[in-house]
Amino acid sequence: MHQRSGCDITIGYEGHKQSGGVLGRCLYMFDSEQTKRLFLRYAIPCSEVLIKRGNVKSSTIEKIRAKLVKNESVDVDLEKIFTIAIRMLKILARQQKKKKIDVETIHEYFWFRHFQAIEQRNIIYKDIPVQRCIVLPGIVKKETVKTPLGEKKYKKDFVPDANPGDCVVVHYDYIVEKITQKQYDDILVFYTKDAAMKNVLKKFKSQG
Amino acid sequence: MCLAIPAKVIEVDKEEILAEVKGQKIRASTELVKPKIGDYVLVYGGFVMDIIDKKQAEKILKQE
Repeated sequence: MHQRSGCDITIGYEGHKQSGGVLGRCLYMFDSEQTKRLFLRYAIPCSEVLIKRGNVKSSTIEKIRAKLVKNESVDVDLEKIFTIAIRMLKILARQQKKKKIDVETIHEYFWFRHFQAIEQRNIIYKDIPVQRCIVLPGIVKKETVKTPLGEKKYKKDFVPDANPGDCVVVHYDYIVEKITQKQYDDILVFYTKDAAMKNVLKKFKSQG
Repeated sequence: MCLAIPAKVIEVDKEEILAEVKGQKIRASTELVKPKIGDYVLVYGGFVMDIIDKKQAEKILKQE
């Protein structure tokens, strides 16, 4: 085994004993602070499950959430807290032939791959609130956001300038980011492209 | 939350495995980790994420 420096996640090394196989571990795996903060806006709202399991303290999550809202720098080992999500992003970055996780990698995962993982888990365990867990496209209304699962209120803490008519992405109780009309259409097509997908959405809607 | 599923490997193909958990069978790519039959693994999003020991698998299953 040879020593490596830097954060190349595209090259694996056999015999690597550390958890996570060939992906390696690196604190600087995002291409920018903005990308890391985007990841956190998706990840923080649903960390209640990790808190419940004792994987992370609620005070740690609260500190990160406060820093995110205040636009302060977040300097913690995210792979230790969000192990599976980060590992998945590393896999996708590697498939996209990128050395670091960028915005495109995050979108690919949370917009188009996350759903499959939720659905698979939901077949085996009914332990996650699927409706809140899936990432959805939405249109901001006066008091609510309209998504393929209906209309409800979402917190604007991460996107305070979300205005009626804006296209956004929501996850758990939060508006995560503003997106373009084309991005909104692409995600909507993903959720409505065939009968199988519509059926899963319908099932999730009834599960709450 | 992005939580992996613990499962026991029952078949190994060239690029994927078939694993079993709670009577359900799931397929996953071995692009990252290459387990053997009988190993306990963590599966997420169609990938084997890690090989774990039986004790860890049982501990996670108890939390579900």
